[in-house]
Amino acid sequence: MVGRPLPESELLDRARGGDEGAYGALVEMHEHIAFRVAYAVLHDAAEAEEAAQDGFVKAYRSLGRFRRGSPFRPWLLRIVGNEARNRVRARSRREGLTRRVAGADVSGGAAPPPEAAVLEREQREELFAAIAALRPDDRLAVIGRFFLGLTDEEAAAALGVRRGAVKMRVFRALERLRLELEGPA
Amino acid sequence: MTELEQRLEAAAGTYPFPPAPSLRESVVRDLPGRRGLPWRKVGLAVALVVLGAALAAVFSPGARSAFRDWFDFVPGVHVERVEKLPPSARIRAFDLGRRVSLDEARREARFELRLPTGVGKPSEVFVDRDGAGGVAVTAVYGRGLVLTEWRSNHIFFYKLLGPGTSTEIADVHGVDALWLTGGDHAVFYRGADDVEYERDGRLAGNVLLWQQGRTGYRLEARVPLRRALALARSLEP
Repeated sequence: MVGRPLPESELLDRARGGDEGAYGALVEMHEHIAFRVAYAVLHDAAEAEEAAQDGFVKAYRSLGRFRRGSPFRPWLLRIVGNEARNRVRARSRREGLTRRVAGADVSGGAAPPPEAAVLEREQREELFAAIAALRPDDRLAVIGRFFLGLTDEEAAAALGVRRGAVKMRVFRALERLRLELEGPA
Repeated sequence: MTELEQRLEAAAGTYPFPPAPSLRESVVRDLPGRRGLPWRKVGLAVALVVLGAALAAVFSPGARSAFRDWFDFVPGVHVERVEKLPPSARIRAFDLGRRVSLDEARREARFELRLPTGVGKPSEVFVDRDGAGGVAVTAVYGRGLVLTEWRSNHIFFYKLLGPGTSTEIADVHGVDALWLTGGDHAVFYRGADDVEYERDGRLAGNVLLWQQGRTGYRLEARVPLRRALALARSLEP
Protein backbone atom coordinates (compact mmCIF):
# COMPACT_ATOMS: atom_id res chain seq x y z
CA MET A 1 0.00 0.00 0.00
CA VAL A 2 1.31 3.41 -0.90
CA GLY A 3 0.79 6.08 1.70
CA ARG A 4 -0.37 9.54 0.88
CA PRO A 5 2.53 11.93 0.41
CA LEU A 6 3.14 14.13 3.40
CA PRO A 7 2.49 17.84 2.99
CA GLU A 8 5.51 20.08 2.70
CA SER A 9 4.99 21.60 6.15
CA GLU A 10 5.03 18.15 7.71
CA LEU A 11 8.18 17.21 5.81
CA LEU A 12 9.82 20.41 6.97
CA ASP A 13 8.94 19.72 10.59
CA ARG A 14 10.34 16.23 10.32
CA ALA A 15 13.48 17.40 8.53
CA ARG A 16 14.03 19.98 11.24
CA GLY A 17 13.93 17.12 13.69
CA GLY A 18 16.71 15.36 11.79
CA ASP A 19 14.59 13.10 9.58
CA GLU A 20 16.82 12.72 6.54
CA GLY A 21 14.17 10.79 4.64
CA ALA A 22 11.78 13.71 4.99
CA TYR A 23 14.44 16.08 3.75
CA GLY A 24 15.14 13.73 0.86
CA ALA A 25 11.48 13.98 -0.09
CA LEU A 26 11.77 17.77 -0.03
CA VAL A 27 14.82 17.55 -2.26
CA GLU A 28 12.86 15.49 -4.73
CA MET A 29 10.05 18.01 -4.72
CA HIS A 30 12.31 20.94 -5.51
CA GLU A 31 15.42 19.58 -7.25
CA HIS A 32 14.10 20.38 -10.70
CA ILE A 33 13.54 24.09 -10.10
CA ALA A 34 16.70 24.38 -7.98
CA PHE A 35 18.81 22.92 -10.76
CA ARG A 36 17.25 25.15 -13.39
CA VAL A 37 17.72 28.29 -11.35
CA ALA A 38 21.37 27.37 -10.81
CA TYR A 39 21.70 26.60 -14.50
CA ALA A 40 20.18 29.94 -15.43
CA VAL A 41 22.97 31.62 -13.47
CA LEU A 42 25.87 29.36 -14.34
CA HIS A 43 24.94 28.04 -17.76
CA ASP A 44 26.96 24.94 -17.04
CA ALA A 45 25.15 21.71 -16.18
CA ALA A 46 27.87 20.21 -13.97
CA GLU A 47 28.35 23.40 -12.00
CA ALA A 48 24.61 23.87 -11.71
CA GLU A 49 24.24 20.39 -10.29
CA GLU A 50 26.92 21.09 -7.71
CA ALA A 51 25.42 24.47 -6.83
CA ALA A 52 21.96 22.96 -6.40
CA GLN A 53 23.30 20.09 -4.34
CA ASP A 54 25.36 22.36 -2.11
CA GLY A 55 22.38 24.68 -1.81
CA PHE A 56 20.22 21.84 -0.52
CA VAL A 57 22.87 20.86 2.02
CA LYS A 58 23.25 24.45 3.22
CA ALA A 59 19.47 24.79 3.43
CA TYR A 60 19.35 21.71 5.62
CA ARG A 61 21.96 23.19 7.93
CA SER A 62 19.91 26.37 8.14
CA LEU A 63 16.51 24.78 8.71
CA GLY A 64 16.58 26.05 12.28
CA ARG A 65 16.39 29.58 10.92
CA PHE A 66 13.58 28.83 8.49
CA ARG A 67 10.39 30.58 9.56
CA ARG A 68 7.54 28.12 10.12
CA GLY A 69 4.59 28.69 7.84
CA SER A 70 6.66 30.42 5.15
CA PRO A 71 6.87 28.86 1.70
CA PHE A 72 9.97 26.71 1.38
CA ARG A 73 10.62 27.23 -2.31
CA PRO A 74 11.56 30.94 -2.29
CA TRP A 75 13.75 30.38 0.74
CA LEU A 76 15.50 27.49 -0.96
CA LEU A 77 15.90 29.40 -4.21
CA ARG A 78 17.56 32.24 -2.35
CA ILE A 79 20.17 29.83 -1.05
CA VAL A 80 20.65 28.14 -4.41
CA GLY A 81 20.81 31.49 -6.19
CA ASN A 82 23.47 32.69 -3.76
CA GLU A 83 25.42 29.50 -4.19
CA ALA A 84 25.32 29.84 -7.96
CA ARG A 85 26.35 33.49 -7.85
CA ASN A 86 29.26 32.70 -5.56
CA ARG A 87 30.47 30.21 -8.11
CA VAL A 88 30.18 32.79 -10.85
CA ARG A 89 32.29 35.21 -8.86
CA ALA A 90 34.94 32.58 -8.35
CA ARG A 91 34.82 31.56 -11.96
CA SER A 92 34.74 34.99 -13.52
CA ARG A 93 38.14 35.82 -12.14
CA ARG A 94 39.75 33.06 -14.05
CA GLU A 95 37.93 33.19 -17.32
CA GLY A 96 35.73 35.40 -19.38
CA LEU A 97 32.25 34.18 -18.64
CA THR A 98 30.75 36.00 -21.58
CA ARG A 99 33.12 34.32 -23.97
CA ARG A 100 32.36 31.01 -22.40
CA VAL A 101 28.60 31.19 -22.55
CA ALA A 102 28.51 32.96 -25.87
CA GLY A 103 30.34 30.05 -27.36
CA ALA A 104 28.17 27.51 -25.66
CA ASP A 105 26.12 25.15 -27.72
CA VAL A 106 22.54 26.07 -27.02
CA SER A 107 21.08 23.71 -29.57
CA GLY A 108 21.10 20.86 -27.10
CA GLY A 109 22.53 18.68 -29.81
CA ALA A 110 19.10 18.08 -31.26
CA ALA A 111 18.66 16.76 -34.76
CA PRO A 112 17.82 19.38 -37.39
CA PRO A 113 14.09 20.05 -37.58
CA PRO A 114 12.06 19.87 -40.76
CA GLU A 115 12.90 22.50 -43.34
CA ALA A 116 9.72 24.44 -42.75
CA ALA A 117 10.77 25.09 -39.17
CA VAL A 118 14.32 26.14 -39.95
CA LEU A 119 13.66 29.85 -39.78
CA GLU A 120 11.80 29.57 -36.51
CA ARG A 121 14.53 27.39 -35.10
CA GLU A 122 17.24 29.81 -36.18
CA GLN A 123 15.43 32.70 -34.57
CA ARG A 124 15.00 30.73 -31.40
CA GLU A 125 18.64 29.76 -31.32
CA GLU A 126 19.61 33.36 -31.90
CA LEU A 127 17.44 34.28 -28.94
CA PHE A 128 18.91 31.55 -26.75
CA ALA A 129 22.46 32.51 -27.72
CA ALA A 130 21.71 36.10 -26.77
CA ILE A 131 20.31 34.94 -23.44
CA ALA A 132 23.40 32.82 -22.90
CA ALA A 133 25.59 35.87 -23.48
CA LEU A 134 23.83 37.91 -20.79
CA ARG A 135 25.37 38.48 -17.40
CA PRO A 136 24.34 35.77 -14.93
CA ASP A 137 21.79 37.84 -13.01
CA ASP A 138 20.24 39.18 -16.20
CA ARG A 139 20.04 35.65 -17.53
CA LEU A 140 18.34 34.50 -14.36
CA ALA A 141 15.89 37.40 -14.51
CA VAL A 142 14.86 36.54 -18.07
CA ILE A 143 14.83 32.77 -17.68
CA GLY A 144 13.07 32.96 -14.32
CA ARG A 145 10.38 35.24 -15.68
CA PHE A 146 9.75 33.64 -19.07
CA PHE A 147 10.92 30.03 -18.89
CA LEU A 148 10.62 29.01 -15.26
CA GLY A 149 7.48 30.88 -14.32
CA LEU A 150 8.89 32.04 -11.01
CA THR A 151 6.61 34.19 -8.91
CA ASP A 152 7.89 37.64 -8.01
CA GLU A 153 8.66 36.36 -4.53
CA GLU A 154 10.64 33.43 -5.92
CA ALA A 155 12.42 35.57 -8.50
CA ALA A 156 13.33 38.11 -5.82
CA ALA A 157 14.71 35.34 -3.63
CA ALA A 158 16.70 33.73 -6.42
CA LEU A 159 18.08 37.09 -7.53
CA GLY A 160 18.82 38.16 -3.98
CA VAL A 161 16.84 41.40 -4.29
CA ARG A 162 13.72 42.86 -2.73
CA ARG A 163 10.44 41.83 -4.27
CA GLY A 164 9.78 45.36 -5.49
CA ALA A 165 13.01 45.33 -7.48
CA VAL A 166 12.16 42.30 -9.61
CA LYS A 167 10.26 44.15 -12.33
CA MET A 168 13.12 46.60 -12.76
CA ARG A 169 15.62 43.74 -12.92
CA VAL A 170 13.58 42.03 -15.62
CA PHE A 171 13.16 45.28 -17.52
CA ARG A 172 16.88 45.98 -17.50
CA ALA A 173 17.69 42.43 -18.46
CA LEU A 174 15.31 42.68 -21.40
CA GLU A 175 16.99 45.89 -22.48
CA ARG A 176 20.35 44.17 -22.46
CA LEU A 177 18.90 41.20 -24.27
CA ARG A 178 17.50 43.49 -26.93
CA LEU A 179 20.94 45.04 -27.34
CA GLU A 180 22.47 41.60 -27.69
CA LEU A 181 19.99 40.77 -30.43
CA GLU A 182 19.89 44.04 -32.27
CA GLY A 183 23.08 45.80 -31.31
CA PRO A 184 23.10 49.29 -29.84
CA ALA A 185 20.59 51.72 -31.39
CA MET B 1 3.87 43.35 -24.54
CA THR B 2 6.93 44.07 -26.66
CA GLU B 3 7.97 41.96 -29.60
CA LEU B 4 10.89 40.63 -27.61
CA GLU B 5 8.62 39.54 -24.77
CA GLN B 6 6.37 37.83 -27.29
CA ARG B 7 9.37 35.98 -28.70
CA LEU B 8 10.36 34.90 -25.23
CA GLU B 9 6.90 33.68 -24.37
CA ALA B 10 6.71 31.79 -27.63
CA ALA B 11 10.04 30.16 -26.88
CA ALA B 12 9.00 29.04 -23.39
CA GLY B 13 9.19 25.30 -23.15
CA THR B 14 11.88 25.04 -25.81
CA TYR B 15 14.78 26.52 -23.87
CA PRO B 16 17.51 23.89 -23.90
CA PHE B 17 17.81 23.16 -20.20
CA PRO B 18 19.96 20.11 -19.58
CA PRO B 19 18.12 17.23 -17.93
CA ALA B 20 17.77 17.92 -14.23
CA PRO B 21 19.79 15.40 -12.23
CA SER B 22 18.37 13.44 -9.36
CA LEU B 23 19.89 15.02 -6.27
CA ARG B 24 18.12 13.24 -3.44
CA GLU B 25 20.69 10.54 -2.85
CA SER B 26 23.74 12.78 -3.09
CA VAL B 27 22.21 15.49 -0.92
CA VAL B 28 21.17 13.07 1.82
CA ARG B 29 24.63 11.51 1.70
CA ASP B 30 26.18 14.94 2.25
CA LEU B 31 23.95 15.99 5.14
CA PRO B 32 25.97 16.98 8.21
CA GLY B 33 24.69 14.13 10.36
CA ARG B 34 26.02 11.64 7.85
CA ARG B 35 29.59 12.79 7.95
CA GLY B 36 30.59 10.91 11.05
CA LEU B 37 34.00 10.77 12.64
CA PRO B 38 36.82 11.18 10.19
CA TRP B 39 39.12 8.38 11.06
CA ARG B 40 36.41 5.80 11.41
CA LYS B 41 35.28 6.28 7.88
CA VAL B 42 38.25 7.49 5.97
CA GLY B 43 40.25 4.53 4.88
CA LEU B 44 42.34 6.94 2.92
CA ALA B 45 45.65 8.15 4.14
CA VAL B 46 44.25 11.07 6.03
CA ALA B 47 46.70 13.86 6.44
CA LEU B 48 46.76 15.37 9.85
CA VAL B 49 48.82 18.48 10.14
CA VAL B 50 49.59 19.09 13.76
CA LEU B 51 51.15 22.42 14.29
CA GLY B 52 50.93 23.08 17.98
CA ALA B 53 48.63 23.50 20.91
CA ALA B 54 46.06 26.17 21.59
CA LEU B 55 44.41 28.41 19.06
CA ALA B 56 43.19 30.94 21.51
CA ALA B 57 46.59 32.37 22.24
CA VAL B 58 47.43 32.79 18.61
CA PHE B 59 44.60 34.50 16.85
CA SER B 60 42.66 37.62 17.45
CA PRO B 61 38.89 37.06 17.85
CA GLY B 62 38.32 38.35 14.33
CA ALA B 63 40.93 36.10 12.87
CA ARG B 64 39.55 33.16 14.78
CA SER B 65 36.10 33.84 13.44
CA ALA B 66 37.30 34.10 9.86
CA PHE B 67 39.34 30.99 10.34
CA ARG B 68 36.44 29.01 11.73
CA ASP B 69 34.13 30.17 8.98
CA TRP B 70 36.64 29.19 6.37
CA PHE B 71 36.90 25.68 7.72
CA ASP B 72 33.16 25.37 7.95
CA PHE B 73 33.06 26.21 4.30
CA VAL B 74 35.57 23.70 3.07
CA PRO B 75 34.44 20.11 2.91
CA GLY B 76 36.88 17.53 4.15
CA VAL B 77 38.65 19.87 6.55
CA HIS B 78 38.05 20.02 10.25
CA VAL B 79 39.67 21.99 13.01
CA GLU B 80 39.70 20.90 16.57
CA ARG B 81 41.16 22.84 19.43
CA VAL B 82 43.04 20.77 21.95
CA GLU B 83 45.16 21.52 24.95
CA LYS B 84 47.52 18.66 24.31
CA LEU B 85 48.42 16.71 21.25
CA PRO B 86 47.47 13.06 21.20
CA PRO B 87 50.25 10.48 21.43
CA SER B 88 51.40 9.14 18.14
CA ALA B 89 53.34 6.26 16.71
CA ARG B 90 56.19 7.62 14.63
CA ILE B 91 56.76 6.05 11.27
CA ARG B 92 59.19 6.87 8.52
CA ALA B 93 57.01 6.82 5.49
CA PHE B 94 53.83 8.63 4.81
CA ASP B 95 51.16 6.40 3.41
CA LEU B 96 49.68 8.34 0.57
CA GLY B 97 47.93 5.39 -0.98
CA ARG B 98 48.77 3.18 -3.88
CA ARG B 99 51.53 4.27 -6.20
CA VAL B 100 50.27 4.58 -9.76
CA SER B 101 51.22 6.27 -12.99
CA LEU B 102 49.82 9.69 -13.73
CA ASP B 103 47.61 8.24 -16.44
CA GLU B 104 46.26 5.66 -14.04
CA ALA B 105 45.55 8.36 -11.50
CA ARG B 106 43.64 10.34 -14.08
CA ARG B 107 41.57 7.29 -14.90
CA GLU B 108 40.90 6.36 -11.30
CA ALA B 109 40.02 9.81 -10.04
CA ARG B 110 36.37 10.63 -10.41
CA PHE B 111 37.14 14.25 -11.01
CA GLU B 112 39.42 16.17 -13.31
CA LEU B 113 42.97 16.18 -12.01
CA ARG B 114 44.72 19.53 -12.19
CA LEU B 115 48.46 19.83 -11.79
CA PRO B 116 50.80 22.80 -11.44
CA THR B 117 52.50 23.98 -14.58
CA GLY B 118 56.17 24.85 -14.90
CA VAL B 119 57.40 22.28 -12.41
CA GLY B 120 57.65 19.29 -14.66
CA LYS B 121 55.93 16.00 -14.10
CA PRO B 122 55.45 14.57 -10.63
CA SER B 123 58.06 12.03 -9.61
CA GLU B 124 55.43 9.92 -7.86
CA VAL B 125 51.65 9.76 -7.92
CA PHE B 126 49.41 8.02 -5.40
CA VAL B 127 45.73 7.22 -5.37
CA ASP B 128 43.69 6.34 -2.37
CA ARG B 129 40.00 6.02 -1.75
CA ASP B 130 37.58 5.45 1.05
CA GLY B 131 34.69 3.06 1.24
CA ALA B 132 32.18 5.74 0.39
CA GLY B 133 33.61 6.62 -2.99
CA GLY B 134 35.90 9.43 -1.92
CA VAL B 135 39.12 9.63 -3.93
CA ALA B 136 42.39 11.37 -3.16
CA VAL B 137 45.25 11.80 -5.58
CA THR B 138 48.65 12.98 -4.39
CA ALA B 139 51.35 14.14 -6.75
CA VAL B 140 54.86 14.36 -5.32
CA TYR B 141 57.43 16.59 -6.99
CA GLY B 142 61.03 17.29 -6.12
CA ARG B 143 62.08 19.85 -3.53
CA GLY B 144 59.26 19.08 -1.14
CA LEU B 145 56.35 20.05 -3.37
CA VAL B 146 53.33 17.82 -2.71
CA LEU B 147 49.87 18.40 -4.12
CA THR B 148 46.87 16.44 -2.88
CA GLU B 149 43.46 16.85 -4.45
CA TRP B 150 40.38 15.03 -3.32
CA ARG B 151 36.67 14.62 -3.38
CA SER B 152 35.06 12.96 -0.44
CA ASN B 153 32.03 13.23 1.73
CA HIS B 154 34.15 12.77 4.80
CA ILE B 155 36.73 14.74 6.69
CA PHE B 156 40.17 14.54 5.21
CA PHE B 157 42.35 16.93 7.12
CA TYR B 158 42.39 17.25 10.84
CA LYS B 159 44.33 20.21 12.06
CA LEU B 160 45.51 21.58 15.33
CA LEU B 161 47.28 24.89 15.23
CA GLY B 162 49.57 26.21 17.88
CA PRO B 163 51.83 29.07 18.91
CA GLY B 164 54.32 30.09 16.30
CA THR B 165 52.11 29.08 13.43
CA SER B 166 50.81 31.94 11.40
CA THR B 167 47.75 31.77 9.20
CA GLU B 168 46.66 33.95 6.38
CA ILE B 169 43.62 33.99 4.17
CA ALA B 170 44.74 34.10 0.57
CA ASP B 171 42.96 34.07 -2.76
CA VAL B 172 43.14 31.36 -5.39
CA HIS B 173 41.05 32.32 -8.40
CA GLY B 174 38.56 34.15 -6.24
CA VAL B 175 38.26 31.41 -3.67
CA ASP B 176 39.41 31.76 -0.09
CA ALA B 177 42.47 29.70 0.69
CA LEU B 178 44.19 29.17 3.98
CA TRP B 179 47.95 29.55 4.22
CA LEU B 180 49.66 27.90 7.18
CA THR B 181 53.25 28.54 7.90
CA GLY B 182 55.78 28.51 10.71
CA GLY B 183 55.64 26.87 14.08
CA ASP B 184 56.16 23.27 14.95
CA HIS B 185 55.46 21.33 11.87
CA ALA B 186 54.67 17.71 11.98
CA VAL B 187 52.34 15.82 9.78
CA PHE B 188 50.02 13.17 11.08
CA TYR B 189 47.56 10.93 9.47
CA ARG B 190 45.12 8.27 10.48
CA GLY B 191 45.77 4.92 8.95
CA ALA B 192 43.11 2.51 7.90
CA ASP B 193 43.82 0.71 11.17
CA ASP B 194 42.52 3.79 12.99
CA VAL B 195 45.94 4.38 14.48
CA GLU B 196 47.44 7.81 14.31
CA TYR B 197 50.90 8.00 12.80
CA GLU B 198 53.34 10.83 12.64
CA ARG B 199 55.37 11.65 9.63
CA ASP B 200 58.86 13.01 9.95
CA GLY B 201 58.42 16.72 10.52
CA ARG B 202 61.16 17.76 8.16
CA LEU B 203 59.00 16.63 5.28
CA ALA B 204 56.33 19.15 6.05
CA GLY B 205 56.52 22.48 4.35
CA ASN B 206 54.11 25.37 4.37
CA VAL B 207 50.60 24.43 3.45
CA LEU B 208 47.98 26.08 1.28
CA LEU B 209 44.42 24.72 1.47
CA TRP B 210 41.51 25.64 -0.71
CA GLN B 211 38.52 24.31 -2.55
CA GLN B 212 37.61 24.74 -6.18
CA GLY B 213 34.18 23.48 -7.13
CA ARG B 214 33.79 20.30 -5.14
CA THR B 215 37.44 19.43 -5.23
CA GLY B 216 39.67 20.13 -2.25
CA TYR B 217 43.33 20.97 -2.70
CA ARG B 218 46.26 20.82 -0.32
CA LEU B 219 49.54 22.15 -1.59
CA GLU B 220 52.59 21.62 0.58
CA ALA B 221 55.85 23.26 -0.33
CA ARG B 222 58.85 24.91 1.25
CA VAL B 223 58.16 28.15 -0.56
CA PRO B 224 56.80 31.58 0.38
CA LEU B 225 53.12 32.39 -0.02
CA ARG B 226 53.57 34.22 -3.30
CA ARG B 227 55.18 31.21 -4.92
CA ALA B 228 52.58 28.85 -3.43
CA LEU B 229 49.79 30.99 -4.83
CA ALA B 230 51.47 31.05 -8.23
CA LEU B 231 51.63 27.26 -8.14
CA ALA B 232 48.00 26.99 -7.00
CA ARG B 233 46.81 29.35 -9.71
CA SER B 234 48.77 27.47 -12.33
CA LEU B 235 46.86 24.23 -11.89
CA GLU B 236 45.65 22.89 -15.19
CA PRO B 237 44.07 19.66 -16.38
